[in-house]
Order: sequence, then C-alpha cells, then structure tokens
Amino acid sequence: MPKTDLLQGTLDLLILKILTLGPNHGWGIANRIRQISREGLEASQGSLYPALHRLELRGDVESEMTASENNRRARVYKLTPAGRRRLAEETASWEQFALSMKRILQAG
Amino acid sequence: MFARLVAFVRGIARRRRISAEVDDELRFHVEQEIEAHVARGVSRGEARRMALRDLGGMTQTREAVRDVRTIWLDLLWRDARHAVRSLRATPAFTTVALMVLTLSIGATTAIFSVVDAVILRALPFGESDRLVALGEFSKNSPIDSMRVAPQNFLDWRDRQDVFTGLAAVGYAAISLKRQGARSRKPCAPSV
Repeated sequence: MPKTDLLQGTLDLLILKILTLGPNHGWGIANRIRQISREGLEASQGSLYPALHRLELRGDVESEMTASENNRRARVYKLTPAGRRRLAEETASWEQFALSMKRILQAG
Repeated sequence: MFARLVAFVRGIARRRRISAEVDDELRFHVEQEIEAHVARGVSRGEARRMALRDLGGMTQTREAVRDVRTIWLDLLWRDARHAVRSLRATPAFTTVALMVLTLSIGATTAIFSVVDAVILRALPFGESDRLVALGEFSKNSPIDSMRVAPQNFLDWRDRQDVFTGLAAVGYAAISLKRQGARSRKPCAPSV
C-alpha cells in the first residue's frame, strides 16, 4: 500500500483528531495514525514532532512530561478547548475541499 | 485568542526546559520503536541497528523542533549576544566607538538643555507670546543695547497706554570688600 506524504496542515488535523481519543505521546499518535488508516498514512518522526510543538505554541494542545513504565520520560499531549474548536473548523474545511476535488475528478 | 496569548507566554517561560526535554521525547520515541520491532519478532540487536540508522533523522528532527519553537525574541537575543562577542574581540575599536558616542550624546544633550530652557520653553508668565522688549535707540550709537534711562522708563510707565504693564530690569556691579582686597562682581538682575 503506497504511503501518501502528508502536508503540514493535514498532519495537524490528524493529530488533533487522534487526540480526541485521549491524551497521548508522539509515538502513540504516530502508531494510531498508522493503525486507524490501516497503513494508508504514516507520519514520520521528522514531521510529527515539529507539528506537535507547533500546535503547542499555537495553544491547540498542551503537554507535560510524565514518567511512563520503566521510569522512562515521555511527553504526553492533550487537546485544549481551542484545539477542539480548531479541529471542528479544519474538519469542515477538509470536507469541503474533498467534496470540491471529488466534483472535479468526477466531471465529464 | 486569549488562550493563544497564554500559551505563547507559557511557551516563552518553558523554552529552555523544553529544548532539553526534546531529546528525552525523541529518545522515548526511538525506544518505543525498538520495542515494537522486538514485539514483531525482530531481534533486539537488529532492532537497535534499525534505530541507530534513524539517529540522523533524530538530529534533523531536533533541529526542526527548535526551528518551530524559535520566536523573534530568540533571534533578537542571539543577534545581541553575537554583537557583544564581536565588540569584545576588538577592544580598541569598541573603546573609540564608545568614546565618540558618549561625547556626542553628552554634547548634544547639554546644548539641547540650554536651547530648551532658553528658547523652546515659554517664559514663566501667562501669555508669554504677548511680551515685548522695549529700549531706547540713539541715532548716534550703532548699538542696539535695549536700554532705557531710568527716568525715561518711569515716564513711559506712568504715561503710556499701549502696554498693560511695564517693568525694567537692572544690571549693576557691586563692590565687595574683603580683608584688604576689593573687587567688583556682577550681581543678579533686579526688576
């Protein structure tokens, strides 16, 4: 199954959506993206972490360092109310975009 | 919008701590990756090798995260530190430059203070734009001294109806005598 490259905006949207399933750390989010899309999409470490930090600076997510099992430190991200609002907006935009694409691709 | 502001401020405060923790975050990711490979049946050695291959990517990721978290304040601070370092490295130039700046600023400030006090600020009278200065001029003397003979002044003051009031300013030197020595000193103008 070919892996599609994710644009920055769409990766943000995916991250926000995955976080509605619960707070998670970077690796967990990447894993979920892979799982739920059934290997259709993959977020590389090089794009995932900058995206997470960018979202945090925008106030869409907040994070804290936690000690997971084996006493390893992981940064866990959580959705903020602003993030939820943004998710709703971006989902609507995306659906509009997908609809437009579909119309054009199915024309003629 | 307010939440953004709060996040921004909070972000600034935590910047230093966060950049140290990004390494931990990425290391955790790699470790999880190794565990996932091992769970799929890859040997731990092979899994670690795969993880090490990705290490270059980790450096890039760290740079990318740092770029994301850099704000204009960081850039300004970085430039300022670089400037100070450069100046420190050329003490002769820095000294001369500082001296020139100090002298220029000092001189300009001094001159301006005088101009400000004398010219720019209004005289401490109400409606100071209505003040005029009067003096007598002699056809024989080329000097505009703006003086008036005392008796003429008194006549002017009592008999004129052009101005609302007239006042005269007098300058005189007085003699001061001290043990044996005697000198004339100017005294403050009397009105």
